Order: sequence, then C-alpha cells, then structure tokens
Amino acid sequence: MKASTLVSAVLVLFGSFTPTHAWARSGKLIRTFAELKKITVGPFDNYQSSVADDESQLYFTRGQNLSSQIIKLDLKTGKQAAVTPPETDAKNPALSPDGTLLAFTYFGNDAKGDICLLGIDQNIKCITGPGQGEHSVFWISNDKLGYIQSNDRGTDHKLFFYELKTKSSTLVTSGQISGPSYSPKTNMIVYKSQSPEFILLNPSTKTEARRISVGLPGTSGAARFSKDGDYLYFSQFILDSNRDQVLDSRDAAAIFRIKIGDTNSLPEQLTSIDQNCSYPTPATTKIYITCAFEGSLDVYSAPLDGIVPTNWKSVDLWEAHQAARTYSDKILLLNQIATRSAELKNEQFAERAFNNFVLMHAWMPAIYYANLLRSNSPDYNVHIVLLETLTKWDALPSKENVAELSRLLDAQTQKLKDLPSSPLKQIAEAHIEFFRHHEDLALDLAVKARPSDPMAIYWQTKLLERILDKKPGNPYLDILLARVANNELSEETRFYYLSRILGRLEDDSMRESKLSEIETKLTNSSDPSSGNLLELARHEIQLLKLAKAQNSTESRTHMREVVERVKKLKNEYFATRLLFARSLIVLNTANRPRELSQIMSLWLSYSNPASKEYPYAIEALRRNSLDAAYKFYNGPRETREMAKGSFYDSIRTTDDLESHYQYAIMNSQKAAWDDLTKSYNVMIKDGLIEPDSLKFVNAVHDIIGGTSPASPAMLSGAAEKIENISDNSVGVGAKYLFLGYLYHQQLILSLNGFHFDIDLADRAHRSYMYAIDAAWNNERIQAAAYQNLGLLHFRLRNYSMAAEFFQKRHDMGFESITHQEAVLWFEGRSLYQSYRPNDALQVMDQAVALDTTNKRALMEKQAFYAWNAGQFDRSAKLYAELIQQLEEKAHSGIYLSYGFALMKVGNLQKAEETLNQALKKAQHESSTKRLGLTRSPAKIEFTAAGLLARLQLQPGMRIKYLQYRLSLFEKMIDGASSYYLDAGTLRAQQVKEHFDLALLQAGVEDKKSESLSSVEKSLELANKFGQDFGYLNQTIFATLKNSMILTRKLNALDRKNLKKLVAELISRTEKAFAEEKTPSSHLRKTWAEVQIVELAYRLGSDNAFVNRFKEESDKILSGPNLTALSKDRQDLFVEIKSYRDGVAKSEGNDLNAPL
Amino acid sequence: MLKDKNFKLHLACISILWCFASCTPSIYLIDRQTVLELEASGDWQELDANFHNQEVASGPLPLEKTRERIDRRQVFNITHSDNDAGAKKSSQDNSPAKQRSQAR
Repeated sequence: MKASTLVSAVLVLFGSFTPTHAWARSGKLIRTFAELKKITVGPFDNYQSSVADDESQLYFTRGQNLSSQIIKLDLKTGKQAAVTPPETDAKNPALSPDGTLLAFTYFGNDAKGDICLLGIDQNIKCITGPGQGEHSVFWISNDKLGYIQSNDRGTDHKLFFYELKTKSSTLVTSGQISGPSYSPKTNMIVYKSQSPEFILLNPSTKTEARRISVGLPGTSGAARFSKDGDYLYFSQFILDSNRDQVLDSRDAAAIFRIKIGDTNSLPEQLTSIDQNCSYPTPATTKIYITCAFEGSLDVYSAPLDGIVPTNWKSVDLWEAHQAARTYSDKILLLNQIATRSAELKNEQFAERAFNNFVLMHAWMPAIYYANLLRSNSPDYNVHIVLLETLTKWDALPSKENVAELSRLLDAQTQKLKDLPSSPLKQIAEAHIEFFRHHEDLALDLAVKARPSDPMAIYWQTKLLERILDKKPGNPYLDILLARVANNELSEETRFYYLSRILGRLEDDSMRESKLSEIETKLTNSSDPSSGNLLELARHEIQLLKLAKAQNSTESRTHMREVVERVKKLKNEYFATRLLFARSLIVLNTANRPRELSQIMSLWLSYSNPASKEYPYAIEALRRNSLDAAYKFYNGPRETREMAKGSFYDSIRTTDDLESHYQYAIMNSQKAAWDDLTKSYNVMIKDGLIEPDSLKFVNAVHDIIGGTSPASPAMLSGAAEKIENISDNSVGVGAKYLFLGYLYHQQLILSLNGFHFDIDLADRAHRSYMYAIDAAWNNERIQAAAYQNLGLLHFRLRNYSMAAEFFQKRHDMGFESITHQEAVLWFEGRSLYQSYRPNDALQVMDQAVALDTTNKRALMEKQAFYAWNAGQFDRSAKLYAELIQQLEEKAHSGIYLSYGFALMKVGNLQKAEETLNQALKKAQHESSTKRLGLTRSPAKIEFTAAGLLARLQLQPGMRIKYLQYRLSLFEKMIDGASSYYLDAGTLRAQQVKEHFDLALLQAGVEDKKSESLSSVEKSLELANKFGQDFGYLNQTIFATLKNSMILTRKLNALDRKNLKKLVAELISRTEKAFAEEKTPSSHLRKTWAEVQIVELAYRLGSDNAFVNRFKEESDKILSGPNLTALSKDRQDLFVEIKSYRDGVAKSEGNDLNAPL
Repeated sequence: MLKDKNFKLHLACISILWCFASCTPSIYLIDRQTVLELEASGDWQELDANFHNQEVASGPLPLEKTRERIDRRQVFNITHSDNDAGAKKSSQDNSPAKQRSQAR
C-alpha cells in the first residue's frame, strides 16, 4: 500500500484492520465470567454500533479530535474504513434490515443535524433539510424509517415516520421522546419519555400500547428490542462517576434487559458496573456494546444473556458472590440470584444492593435503595440524610466554601431533627458536626453512640477513621480492634476489620505490640466464633517470624506451623482467604521468594479447580511467581537459573504466556531448547499446558532465538501462527505484544524513505492496543506496549501520538538507566516535534540527570529545547558547556544555535565570535542525510551570516556581514528546494536585505553613493523578480516607499537610473493592483500611501509643491480606490487622509508614516 | 531589518513537493520543527538508531519492580460482608455457598 502523509494520524483514517481473534476481557477483574470481546481499538473513541443481520458488518461512530465519523468494519476480514467524509460530522448509524442502506445523523448541511442515507453508490442523500435538528433514526422496514425532530431548546420532540418510496414524512407523536427503536416481531416502537419508564407504541395505530417501568437507580439509556422481540436491552447509568450529583449518560453504566411480558420483575443485569458499558445493540448471536477502558470508548461483544454463565445454578452464583473481590461484581451476582431464582426476594435484594453501594461509596444509588426500604426501618431515613450530605460534600469544589456548606448542613440538621432518636441518628449528627469542622464535638458524639446495627457500626467506623486516622498513637487502630472483637458482627465482617488492621501495621515494633494485643483480646473472649480470628492473628505473628528466619531450619519450623494452621482452617472460607492473602503480602514484602513459593503451592493444593475461588488463587500465584522470577532475573548472575525455575513453576501451574515467553528467551541455546521442547511435550501430555503454548514459544524462538535477524517472510509466518493462538490463555497480553512486535518489525523492514505499509502499521498499532487492554493489571506488558507504540508512531512521524504514548510509558519502571535514557530521548523528541518545547525540555532535564554514557547527546537536546522554549540564558550556558566537551566534534549547527541564544541574551561579542565559528565550520562541512532529509552546511552559513548582520555591531562590520550574506543569495535561490526554502520568499528577502544594506551605508559618511547603488540594486531585483513573490507584496510596497524616502533624504532626487527604476516598479505595481479583482481594505490603503509618497517624490522640491501636491493628492483621495475604502473602512480612510495632510504640511519632508 | 520570526522562517517550515515519475505525486509536508531540528540541532543518527533498535520490545519488560503495591492487588481485596444490614449474627448469610462451605 502506498503511504503518503507524514504528520497526520493516517492509521485511523484509512483502511485498517481488526484481527479476527479480537482480544477478550472481563473489565478490570479477575473472575470466571464470560468475557467481553473487544472489536475496535483506540486511542480514539469508538461507540454506537449498528450491526448487519448476519453479523458480518458493523457500523460505529468514531469520535476523534472533537469530530465524529461513521466507520464500517467487516467482522469477517477485520477491514475497516470511514464511510462518511472526515470534514463533516456524522453519528448514530442505523443499518436497514436488508443491509443496503445506512441511515445516520449528518451535520454536513445543518449544524443541528439531518437524517441522511448512504447507499451502495456511496452518495449521501439527506431526507431532511436545514431548519430543525433531526436525529435518532431507526428502521421500521426497508422502505420506512422513523426519526426524531427536536426544537432548538431541546424541550419538544416529534417522532416522524418517513416513507422512502413516496419521500413523505408523517408525524406520529410528540412530547418528551428519546432513543426510539422498532421490533418487527412485536410491531412495537419503544422510546424513553421523561418518566423512568419505557413507552411501547403501536406504529399502526400510533397509540401508546403500554409502559414498562425500570426499578433501578439512575437513568436509563435508549432501549433496543432483542431480535426475537422478547426482551428490551438498555443501559442504566448508575454511578455518579463524574461527581456532578446527577445520574446521566456521562456516568458509569451497566447493561440490563427486561422481559417484555414480565414487567413487574427486576431487570436482569448483564454486565458489571465497573465495565462501564452502554449503547446495547442485540444481534442474533451476540450483543454489541460500548465500554469505557483507560479513558476511551470501544465496541465490544458479549453473550446475549450477559457475562454470568447461564449454566450457573443458584449454588454457583452464591459461591461466585462469596468469592467476588469487588462490590460491583457482588451486585451483579445478587441481581442474577434475584432474577434467576426465588432465593432472594426483591426486598432482600434491595437491602443487599443498598449495603454494597454504601460500601463502594456510591451514594446516589444507595439513596435509591434506602428510599425503597424506608418503610422497613426509620433508620433508612437517617441513611438518606447521611448519603445526601455525603453526595453534596463530595461534590463541593472547596470544602472551605463556608456559606454553601453551612446552608447544606443546616438543611440536613433540620431533616434529622424530625426523625426519631437512634444510634444511627447520633452518628449522622456527628458526621454533620465533622463537616462543620467541629472535630471534637463530632468525636464526642460518635464515640458516645452505641450502635448494634452493622451498617451503623460501619458509618461510625468511617467517621472515626476520618477523625482519628494519622493522629499520634493511631487511636483508629483501637477502633478497628473493637470491631474485630465485636461478636455481634458476622465473621466475614470481622475478617474485613482484621484485614484493615493488619494492612496498617507498618513498622515492626507497632506490629508486634498490636498483634499481641489482638491475641490477648481474642484469647480472653468467651465467644467461640472468635477462634478463627485468633488463628489469623497468630498466623500473622508466625508470618513475621518466618519473614525473619535466619536459616532454612528456622524457616522449616515456622512453615510447619503455617501448614498446620491451614489444615485447621481449611473449611473456613474467609479465614483461609485472609490467611493466604496475608501470607503472600507479608512474604512478598519481606522478599522471601522461597517461602512465598511454598505458600503458593499450599494454597493451590487446598483449592478446588472447579471452585469460583480457584481463578483468584491462580492469578495470585501467577503474579507472585512472576514477581519472584523477575527478582531472580534482575539479581546477581547466579540467580538467573532460579529465575528460569520460577518461570517454569508459573508455566506448570498457570500456563501463563508471559512466563512462556521469558522461559523461551532464557532457553534459546540449542541444548536448552531441545530440553525445553521435550518438557513442553510432556506437560501437554499431562494436561498442564495447552498445545498453543508450544506454538507460541516456537514462534518466539524462531524470531528472537536465532543468530541472525528475522527476514520479512519469517516475521510474516510467525505472525500468522500467533494470530491462530487462542485468546483463552492466561496472560494473553504477551501474545498481542509479540504479535505487535512482529508487524512492527515487518514495517521497519519495509520502510522506504517516507513510504510505509499502512496496513502493517495498523496491525502493529492494534495488536499493541489489545495487549494493553488484556494486560490491565500487568505493568511489564503495558510498559512494553506503550513504549513500542511510541516508537512506532515516532518512526511514522506521527509525533503527537508518539508523545502521548511515551508520556503514558514515562511513569512506569525501567529495566536500567540505559533503557530509561532511550525512552526519555524519544519522549523528548516527540514532545518537541509536537510543538511542546517546554515539556521536551523537562523530559531532557530528567534524562541528563541520569548517570549515562550518552550525556553529550542529551545535553545537546536539552540546550536546543531550552532555546526553543525561550529559555535563552539557560540554553547559552548549556551550549557553552556542551561545546567545551565536544571540542572539535561540535558542528556548525550547534555553534549557530549557541550564537542565536547568545544574541537573544545580548552577549553580542560572544555571539559574533560564535556565529563566525558557525560560519567557518559550515564552510568546511559537507552535506549529510538525517531523518531522511539533507542537512546542508551552506544553509547554516547563510543563516549565520544573516544573524551576524543583525547583531548590533559597528555599522562597518554589519555592512561587511550583510554583503557577505547577500553574496550567498543566488546560490540559495538556485537550490532553494534542496534547502527546504521557497525561492519566491528568498527573492523577497533578497530585495529587502539589499535595502537594509542601503540604509546601513546611508549612515556612514563616505558610503552615500554606495547606499544609492544598493537602493538601485534592491529596486532592480524587485522589478526583475517581483512576479515571483507578487507585486502587491508588502516587500514591494516597503521597498518603493523607503527607496523614495531615502533618495529624498540623500538629496538624490535627480538620480536618473533610480527614478527610472522607481517609475518601472510603480507601473508594475499599478498594473497588478488594477488586475486585483477584490482588493482588501488594507491593500487599498497601502497602495494609496505609496501613491502619496510617489507624488511627493515626483514633485521633489518644486516651488509649487504645496498647491500641486494638494491638487493631485485630492485626486487620489477621491479616486475609485479610496472611495471604495471610505465606504468599507472609514477608519482607514481617515488614517490615509490625515497622512496626506501631514505630508502636505511638512511639504514632503515627513514621509515616515508606517508601512 | 530581519526579525526573529524571519530567522525561524529561514530555518524552517517550507512545504515541498516531490514529484516522482508517476502521474500521482506523493506530497510530503516537512514541518518547521523537523527542518529546525535538522539544521540547528546535533547529529546523533547512530545513537538514534541504536536506541530505536534496543527499545522495540518483543515481550514483557523484565522490570524488577512495578508501581503496584502488592497489598493493593485486587485478588487480596477482602470485601466487607454485604449481609449485615439490619441483621444480627443469627440471621447471617445462609446461602447455599455458605452451607456447602460449612459442610466441607
């Protein structure tokens, strides 16, 4: 494919590709749910999908640089292309039932939007015209569609039908209507109205058939019918993620569906809230949705029944709920339990949903459920007051905004007053006092409250955390300890509080004393349920001993006790979960990889592979194995073998592709490779790893393990193999990273000057983006992918995107200073190329601070970016240091930049000296190729001479430098394109600089004649080459006016040649002006000014100057040019008139009006 | 007189039309920053190429440490019980999962 553009983000504008095995993810979660399959990739937003009936094609909206386009993606081949023009916004695609017409909202003819159609002929035809805004198009049949027309204020909306055959629109209904959709199975239209309900409309009778209420917190998005017409799919915006106190389409959402015939039931939740998905499009086999990840939107597919497997029975759902690590997962599973079985009644679901939303600090949905539950207990009214206060408190821009805060708190206090007394009410009052900054009173109230209700205890604990955390002696720990000892709470809750304590014990002395206090307290407890907690406290003590074990005997002794405790607690789910979690955290932090490995094996041996806990155990093991492996890898040489062992352990237990990759790299030697192959075959036979894993390591070995660089054919062959590897492997991010690398390398090998293979570039980009998505919790893969993306786009000269990726890479770790230096080098250069010299300088400052061997290169960029950032003083100092270090190696360009910086800071003497060095060096250098371009010393020489001529030196020196510079012009003009200059612009500059020379010479007593010759040269060049840059150019006007003024000053009005040249140039300019069809007001004014000067020049010292000048200049003022000006720009006309009057008054001696 | 911006203009910024033999010429825009860096900055081609080749990663970077704190890993989240509200210990989680766990 032929590439053409260097600076635009071409990758995403033209043909591009999605691997058919699009990466799948489950949001930022580890679990056993079905995965979301990623269909599109960023970094731009891709959303609002419409899919063909056979699911072969998908249309979606792409938002990019504040504009939007519709993109067509072939789901079979992965090819995609924009179908609407880039210069005009379009969105909301809707494909006709037969797939032959695409309807969408188009902004080409109307900024408010029109409904337009795109057919096979690729021509856009609009069915509505400018005036009102039309949007939300949907199909009823292949010949009929519907859309909404809205008024400018967005308060009134009309639903229209449009018949394609008759080209006629019919009004169906009006009011608050949004997001309409149609089902041919039910012959119903669904839309949203103002109320939290969906309205079903019969299109035949145009009457409302029924309403479907949505018993969920937040706001619903548009609903879509399932293909069979049985379900309505919709997104529900539940979390106030932008903290604006309004739940709307800018917030986090989950996908729900509701059975149309069963409207009283709870809607079924299909995705987790933390996946943040919206715009559902149910197709025949899948649902296409838009989900947010890392700040950008993409289209994903999911099973029609949602991510929770349909074959899970109640017991599975409860088990998954128990094992869930996030509240949003728990809410999803509770919803599934409530909608699939009768085990959780609606009220019980509401209670649990309330609790989970409170625990995840999602106050607004918690308020919704508290409202549902207020008839159960008056305390829910207190919860509501508390939650409202927290919602507003969180949204307050400044917590010190006294007036607003005070009003809010007064109102909330009043609400509390009307409620019956309870410990929860007291805790709510304590919160309000805390928000009033009455900390002591709040503490007093909170401590005196004696809640027994666990949620009240939770609120009390949170408030005490706000007040007491970080106070001397950490009294908050005592509060947590009291919770652990509170046998009124469930064991799970007590474990939660215990884990909070253990996580806070940072220094050893505090840890030992507090653990002993916990042990004493729990030992003395008469409550038998404290037994497991006591075991956990003792386990922590044991772990600390294990972490400090001095030798293997000590280690074995402590480990035996750990094993005994595990045996004792093996049937206690939460106890074992906390036990293993603490073991891994403590031993990892204490850097005890051996003991860590033993604990991991223990955990695995006590986990049932069929359990819902197992994936979490595997994930913990995988990450700990990798941590241990990388520790060994980066340790002394002798530990490298242990790194191999850790990667191998990880492979055997988790079949993780990241471990496979590293293991293959470490065993690339012939003998080791043969052993590896044998052991892999055994592991495949034993069912420990998938055959795909062997394919993966073979491909890695073929490309990386060889002694010579891989050829394009090898890279292409390996890419094909990798594409066919399943996405179900653990650590699939490593697969996509390697795939991106294969395409990236192919691209590098195919680069030819400025040409590159856009398809390869796109494949590399996409693969890296999939790797990032898949490796959401893996910084080692993300760092590599961001780095590669930065390098890829840097190579393609797509600098702003490269800078974006390097900046994401910036804060992650580096393998060594050498690697950090290289990444900072490219980051700085990308930032500079993106016109961000200040940021580039900052990055280069960091690079220079590193202890590297390439300091000179980094310093040079630092100095260069400093002058680009306008920090000339700093730049000059850096250049001075650099030149001292480089000595003879410093080339002319560096001297030129140094000289320029010196000139800017006013160090003229040094600037002159430095620029002379630049000039001399350039004279002895030859052209070189860089960045695919030619660097020409001749241009450096030319520029240095120009700068020297501008220095405020003695006129004699300036004349000398300027004459030298003028001697170079013809050569520069002849080779203008090879110097990346424009010949016309150079000619104009030549004319100007000859006049500059004339001015300098005029100031020297014995050079007046030379000055007039220079004026003549300037005019001669202007006459000869004016057509190259235009006779109406400012340079021509300035040359004319200034030549006449100078000649008059030098009393040389009778110099014939000069007069002739002026007359010629005036004539040419006059002709050009006459040919100008629509001269601008400024051009009219400037030309008139030149005419006035010319008049004064021509009249010279005529005795009748005053009268003749007045008479003739009046003609200029009343001529067609200035008549037109006086109509268009009276102010400019007044200016020119007053200029004329000034010249007249001075009898032609003051002609210095600005030009 | 020359002004600062003229100096920069001198160094930079001109569009170039490269006409190849074919009838459909490719147009390349060489921007100001590129030309400026070409002429007024150092020449580190070798270093540039070495850095580039060295940094294109084929696999995960072997970082000894990452920014993530181990105790913040999601797998170690001990989420609070969601079955406590309005209920004392006696009426706590009676789910099948709990029963199965107890039965083990």
